[in-house]
Amino acid sequence: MSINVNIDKTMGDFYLKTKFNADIGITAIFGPSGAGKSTLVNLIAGLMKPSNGYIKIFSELIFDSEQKINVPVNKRGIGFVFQDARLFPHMKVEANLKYSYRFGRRGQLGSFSEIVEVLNLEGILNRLPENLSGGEKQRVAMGRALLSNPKILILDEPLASLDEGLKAEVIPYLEFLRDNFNLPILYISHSQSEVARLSDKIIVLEKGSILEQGKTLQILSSFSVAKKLGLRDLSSFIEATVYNHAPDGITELDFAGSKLFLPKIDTPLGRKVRLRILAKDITLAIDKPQKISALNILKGEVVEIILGSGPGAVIGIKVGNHKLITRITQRSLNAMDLKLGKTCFAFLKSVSVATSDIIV
Amino acid sequence: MELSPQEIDAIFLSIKVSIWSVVLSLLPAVYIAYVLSRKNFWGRQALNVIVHIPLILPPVVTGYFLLILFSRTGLIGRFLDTYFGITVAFHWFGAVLAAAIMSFPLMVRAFRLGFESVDPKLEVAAYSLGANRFMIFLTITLPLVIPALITGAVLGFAKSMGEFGATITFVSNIPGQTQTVPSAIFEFLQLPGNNFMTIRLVCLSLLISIVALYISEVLASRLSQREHGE
Repeated sequence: MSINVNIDKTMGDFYLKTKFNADIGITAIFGPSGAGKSTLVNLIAGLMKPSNGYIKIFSELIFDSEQKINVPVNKRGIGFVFQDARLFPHMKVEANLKYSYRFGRRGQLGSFSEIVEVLNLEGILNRLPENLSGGEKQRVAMGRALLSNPKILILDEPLASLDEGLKAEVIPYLEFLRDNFNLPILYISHSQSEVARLSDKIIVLEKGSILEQGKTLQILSSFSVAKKLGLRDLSSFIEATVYNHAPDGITELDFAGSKLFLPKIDTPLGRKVRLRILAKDITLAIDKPQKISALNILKGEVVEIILGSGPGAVIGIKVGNHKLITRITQRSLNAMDLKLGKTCFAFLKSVSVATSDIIV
Repeated sequence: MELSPQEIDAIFLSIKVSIWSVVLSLLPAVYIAYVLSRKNFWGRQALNVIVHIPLILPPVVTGYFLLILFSRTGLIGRFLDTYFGITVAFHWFGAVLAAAIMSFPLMVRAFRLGFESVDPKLEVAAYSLGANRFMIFLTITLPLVIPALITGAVLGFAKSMGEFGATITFVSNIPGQTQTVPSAIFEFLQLPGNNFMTIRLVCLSLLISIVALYISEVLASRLSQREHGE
């Protein structure tokens, strides 16, 4: 593992204790505000000192309370991209990008011209930060971090202050970063759709401790996580591959061996997309429904039944390697005689998957 | 119409005293302003109060304290006289000291506002990119406060040009030696028939102040342009 963290920190009546590993690719650090995400980042960066524990980056100890190791921030080799970009206002874009060069930190991830090219910064090198759009600022911030020869990257809510349009502009660059540099990236966010789209691994923080960690889509679709975090809409997060754009305006996707039909999306054939399906949009049936308007009928097996305190119940259906979750009433549960291991059909109207829930 | 030698002396002395006063206070004022705006330490409030004392004290009282400390029998004055043979009281350098102390709080306030307007988050970003604390100050903080430094220095210069109470108490009003423009105006006002000279000096000090302000404005805008054009 490239990053090993095992630290705790007491600050007044807030106590943070985390132990996790992260590897190459994006690991999301997810949680509501106040969960301790920023504290955790500050501890890893060296802006705050853990009370106990150790932090290791590629087997180099950058902090160890027992051995009294505490490498200062400027020697940790962590590239940062902050929510507010933090470009130096008195320097042009080029000087911002090359700032770390003054301290002998020259990127081995790519030459200046390569990084400028992949982030599409040629046209703005001579501009001052005040004349950049929010998305451009974030791209410069990414470039500046990449050029500082980081061993790992920490992206601290890099999209949080951008509107939807700018987010869509920046996300492909984040994906490029993830897919083309062999870097461990910690991605701090409180947005479900961002982490669902970008990360493969997720660490869910709540009140200073790790609630859950594992594969992103699995954890985000977990009822217990959704409940503990008080996420408003219980949803399943799934991955499907686009294989046909039909002339009647329906995009056909392959999902765990079953077909999924959605209103047309602009994604090239063969690309994987991640979808969010709200639990309340899935209906269950014991027999395969015939002549029904819902296009998507997925055969699965009941793997989870959680009875709520009210009249509701949450049912987990395993379809291929994925799990869909749905919310039904306990009355339906009894009427259908659903039990663990029982085969059933989940169906969903194509139009239920709103375009905003297709997180590509 | 020509200026009398006394007036010329007073003008040059005032300019000399003001420049020295700013030069002398600059570094300590920058340092104290930085420390007050960035660091949290024991005695921070006390330091803040001490720096501001000359602002609230009657200038005569400040001059009196200076006299007590720096006269040939005073605590510091005796030391300077015995070991270095220097007497500050009733000497032009005493006027510098008085002006520096009186203008110090104004400079610190202006600089501090400058430092406080620099977002510490930028310093954190620089830190993460490999800069140590000194380089952060040199490459991020300092360039961003330069306009405030210029403003503060001009303020200090103007205050020094106008300083009267502490100066006249500490170094008296000796034409050609310790007589600054305000002291000269004061002297002319004391004697009848000097209306014309008084007005002339008043206009001159007005002119010097305006020119100083103008130069500082030009300098500040040039610097910020060069900074941006780098």
